[in-house]
Amino acid sequence: MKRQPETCSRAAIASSTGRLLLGAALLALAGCVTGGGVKGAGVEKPAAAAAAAAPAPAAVPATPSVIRLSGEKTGFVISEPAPVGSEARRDFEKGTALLKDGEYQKSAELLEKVIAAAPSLTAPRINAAKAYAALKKPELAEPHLKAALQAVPGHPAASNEYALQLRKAGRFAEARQVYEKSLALFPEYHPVERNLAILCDLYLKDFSCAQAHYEAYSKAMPDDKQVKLWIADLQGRTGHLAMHKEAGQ
Amino acid sequence: MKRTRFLLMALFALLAACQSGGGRETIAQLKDVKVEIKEVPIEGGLEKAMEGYQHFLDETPESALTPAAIRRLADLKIEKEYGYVAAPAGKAGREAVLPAPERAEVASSAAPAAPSRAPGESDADFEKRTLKAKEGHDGEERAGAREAIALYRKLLDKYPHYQGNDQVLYQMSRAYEELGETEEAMAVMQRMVKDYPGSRYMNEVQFRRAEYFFTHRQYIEAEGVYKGLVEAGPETSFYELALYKLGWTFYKQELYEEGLDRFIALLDHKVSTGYDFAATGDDLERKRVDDTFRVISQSFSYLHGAASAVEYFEKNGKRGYEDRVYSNLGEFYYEKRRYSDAAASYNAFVSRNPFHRASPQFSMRVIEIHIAGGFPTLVIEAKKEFARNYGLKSEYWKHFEPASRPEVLGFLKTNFTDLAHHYHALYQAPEHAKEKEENFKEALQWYGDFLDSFPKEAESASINYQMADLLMENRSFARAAKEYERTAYDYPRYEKSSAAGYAAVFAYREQLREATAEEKDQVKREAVKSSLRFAEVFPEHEKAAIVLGAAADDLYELKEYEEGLTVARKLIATFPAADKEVLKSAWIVVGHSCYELKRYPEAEAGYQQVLSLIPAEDKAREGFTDNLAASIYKQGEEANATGNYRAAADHFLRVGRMAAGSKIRVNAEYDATVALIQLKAWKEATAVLTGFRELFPGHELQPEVTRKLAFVYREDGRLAEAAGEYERVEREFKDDEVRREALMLAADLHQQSGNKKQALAVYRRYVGYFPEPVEVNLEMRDKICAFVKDEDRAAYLEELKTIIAIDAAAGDKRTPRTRYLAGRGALVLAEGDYERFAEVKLVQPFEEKLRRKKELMKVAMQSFGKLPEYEVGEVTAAATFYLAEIYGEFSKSLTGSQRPDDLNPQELQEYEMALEEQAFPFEEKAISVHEKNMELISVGIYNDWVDKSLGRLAKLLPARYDKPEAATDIVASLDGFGYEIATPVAAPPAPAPAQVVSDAVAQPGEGAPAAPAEKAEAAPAEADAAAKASAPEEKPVQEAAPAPAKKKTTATSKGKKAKRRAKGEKK
Repeated sequence: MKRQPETCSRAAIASSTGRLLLGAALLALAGCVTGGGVKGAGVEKPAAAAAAAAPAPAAVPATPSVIRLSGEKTGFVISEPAPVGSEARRDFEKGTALLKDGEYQKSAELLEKVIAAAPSLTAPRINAAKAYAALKKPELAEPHLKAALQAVPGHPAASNEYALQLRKAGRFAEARQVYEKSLALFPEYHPVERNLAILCDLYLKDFSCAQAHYEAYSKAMPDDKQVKLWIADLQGRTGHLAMHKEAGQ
Repeated sequence: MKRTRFLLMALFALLAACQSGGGRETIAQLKDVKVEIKEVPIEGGLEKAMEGYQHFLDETPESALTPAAIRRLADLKIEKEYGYVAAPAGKAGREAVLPAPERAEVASSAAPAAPSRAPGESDADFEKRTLKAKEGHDGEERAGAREAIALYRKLLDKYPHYQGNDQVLYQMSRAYEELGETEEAMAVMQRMVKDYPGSRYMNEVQFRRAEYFFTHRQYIEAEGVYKGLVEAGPETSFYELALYKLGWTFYKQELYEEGLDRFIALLDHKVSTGYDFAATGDDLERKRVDDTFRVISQSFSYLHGAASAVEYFEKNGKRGYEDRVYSNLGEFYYEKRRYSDAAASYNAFVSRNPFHRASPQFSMRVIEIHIAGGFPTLVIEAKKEFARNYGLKSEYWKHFEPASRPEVLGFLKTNFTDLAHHYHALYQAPEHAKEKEENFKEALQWYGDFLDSFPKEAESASINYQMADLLMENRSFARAAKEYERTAYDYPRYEKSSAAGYAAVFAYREQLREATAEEKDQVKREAVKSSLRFAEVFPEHEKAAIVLGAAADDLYELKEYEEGLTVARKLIATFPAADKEVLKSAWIVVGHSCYELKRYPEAEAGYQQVLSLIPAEDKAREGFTDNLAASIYKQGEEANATGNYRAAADHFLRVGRMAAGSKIRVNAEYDATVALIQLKAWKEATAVLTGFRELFPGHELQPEVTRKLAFVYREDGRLAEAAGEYERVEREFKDDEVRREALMLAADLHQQSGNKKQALAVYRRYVGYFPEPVEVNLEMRDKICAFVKDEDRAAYLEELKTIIAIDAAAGDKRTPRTRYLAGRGALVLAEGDYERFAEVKLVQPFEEKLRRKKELMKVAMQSFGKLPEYEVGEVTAAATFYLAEIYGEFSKSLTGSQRPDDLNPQELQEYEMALEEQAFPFEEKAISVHEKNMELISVGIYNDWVDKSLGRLAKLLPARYDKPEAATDIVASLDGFGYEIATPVAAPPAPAPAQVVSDAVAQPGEGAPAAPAEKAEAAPAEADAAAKASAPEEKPVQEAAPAPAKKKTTATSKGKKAKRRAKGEKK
């Protein structure tokens, strides 16, 4: 800390006060912010065709590649070249284990080591982001999630985690974009479909969005009775609303 | 006989020579000539010759030869008596041999050459000398002469027709003259003129006659005879003499112009016959010419002096020898002490012949004449005139080569010098104070003229020096300086060159003293330039070092630091043995200049040298100690600027060691701490700061030192000491902002060091001291709250109330932050109201409890209802949440209320249905208000309270709100991520659902998932109430009064329940 001694104490005080005020401002902002485009900018439609046209894995993949499953199985496998040593692998495994055990801080530290050794890999970043979220340090998670999504655009796990964190921060529109982009590239990842539907339902009050995604989800997961109930409830409400609207006219 | 003839011829030749040489004493000189001839050995001698002739006459009968023998015998007798004999008949004849009868004497000494003057010779003496012929005889009776005369008479008588009788007469006249019998002589000559007008002796005879007339003042007669001789022509022997004497004859008759005509004619004749006035070969002739000039002068003097001369030559034409006429006239007057006339004579010539070769000499002579005459004014005027006319730039020198006139140049020099000195002396003379300015100008001009004309003479430098002195005396310092410089440097070295060099410097210094402010700079530069030159050229001069030192001083003052430094160093190197004071001054310039040039290490060295030259007890040390300190201090500053804080600190601390008493030491010590702080050398900084505190008690920087010490302690981890120092800062500073910040820091540090008690005390001190800024005051109160929250609930709540009150009263000083803090405080207080409301259980006695609960419900709703006024999203959401909670709590309390124990099952069932009917609207209200809270999302408010409402809704309307999101799976592999499900078919087995998580259900402890089978009907409160933050209406509370409508049908409640379940049944 290089400060002119004449002003250091004042600066220290100011920064201390500044922190307080900044904290207050953040709180106020969080409390008062008038939704940055809650109704959302243009929503990307799930582009199954685009997803289907995802590149086939190369023989010696230098970049991440995606394999689509077909036939009885629906899904995908994202392969990432991981030219890392055994120590990094051990750290990853240990860090992941610690994450499962709720040892978030230790987990994050180990995963950061892995990230430093292999910055292009998404797995340690996604797990580290989860650890930071648990540590209530979303500001440390966000850069990792962004990096992961840059490495593998629309990465379902990274997208889901990022959108969840954005939703928790009240950044609903951004969350929606993340979900939608992911769905466009990985439509077979249904948790994202479900979560996007919930986001539209509970937070964005975009019921048509919610209904569409609930239905898509339900179609893929026909055994989920609960979602069928949600769809019914939503239809009741939207129908009710429509009736009200018609009556109003 | 042969011999005799030879002698006569020799005599004649001599005489002719005399005549042609113009010797006016020709006749008088005859005697001398004769003596010479006598010395010639003559064979046989006169006696023997006479004896021969006597014997011939005696023995020989009369014959044709007898007359000749008689004549020869007579001649010899005369010769024997007087030493000469008659010349043989010839062209020039002997006429010139005889002196004029009246010429009594001949001046034995020649007159001086022109301007010839015989000092002391009066006009009378001159006339006497020049006109009187020497007496040709001594009057002594000589027997031989008588015998000769007798013989001549005998011859004449006896042989009247003898052919040589003209010669006999001539000889006889001479014999009479010898005997002093001039009348007889004249008679004889008269007879000759009558009887032998064609005689070859006639010119001489006539001349003798004229001389006789002249001598006997018979000027008319003389005039006639002289004229006759002159008219005979210049080729005749007596032409010049006759002309000369004719002039005199007129002169004697006061016919000066006629006389002048003859004298001038004579001179013209001399010129025409090749006479050179400048030649000095023949003294006799020269003397006669001189005499002619003299008589010309006298003639003019009897007329109108020089004016007449001018007039004469204008009338009669110019003459080449005119200058001699004027100069003779001048000298003529001079001898008579008629100085004005003398000067006028010379001037008359000069004015008409300004470019005559002689004019400068004449002008010089005029000056001499004035000097002799004792006319200083005229002398000066003449000298000025001379200087004007013959200065080397004058017209005169277009006609002459200066080098050919050294005498004029010499005089010119003298003249210039004299004039300059003269006026210089007048300038200096107190009695001429009034004319001081004029005299100054004159003197300056003449010095200047000298130097213009003679810039490279041996004495030029000296004259230049005097000129500079004059300027100096006149306080014309600038010009004096220039002239001294010229003297010193523009001439070959002479004994006063270095003195002049020094004088130049001195003059500049004097000029500087009188210079105006605007001039000073330029003058100083001139002085410096001169000084440097002086020291360079004359290093041996005793003042060279001082002068160089002064130049260095000036250069410094002129801010020419580099040059000043060079000069000072040169002085030190060149004059190591110079006076201590001089060396000290030089070192001062070195120090100061280096300081200005930011060459601080050199400045430091310079000041150390200065101090080494000042005695220990000298008060001057103080200032130079300060300078030394400053130069060290500056090194510290420079090191600071380059970020070399270690070096900076060392320099600053060095000030204390090397110049402990310096004024700047305090700053140095202080800045040392600054540098040490930069270095994070906390221990060292602490030592210096505490040292400062002791060294400079009461110094104005002490508060800053305290502040620094506080900072250093803090950075060093000595938090308690830091806190103490910050408290001290608050006491020592007057600036409120500083004090506030210090107290805040002190409190914070006390807190960090674990001294909560002291931290709280400082915070309390702060809020007491500084009610403003309101926001900060509330922040500090917020900190107090944090301290007492868990330990002193009453104090905590009191502080919250204070915060709320201050915010409420802050007016325009209210800020979002004060609203936030107050809103949060109000929330805490409202939570208290909620808790008090919630604490009341609806047990027996039911009605009392119910009333109590309703009262508290009202209070709480009012409290929360006010919170949205703070316009803090978080607080508004909390208030909305709590409002919903109040409804929920009331509904739950009703359904969970203690049942009367006196009811039978039927009554109990009805009672419970009635309760549910009462409670149901409150639950509906709770749902509606929570949903309102959710709506805050649409206005951008989303926080924990909104999420909590969602959590409550998930319990109350799970089908609609209990929708947990699918959490992200942990990625297990480093190599990638995969997902697969069975491709959906008509009725495939459902896959394991993904793990779901929900914020709403993440906190299962919150809320009351009571699920009464039925709820009491209650009038719903306005759903908007919460969002609008208005106080809840009385109605639902009142209607919730325990009025178990035992008679009410259950259909109603059941119907409502069914309706709600249709909305979103609980699982």
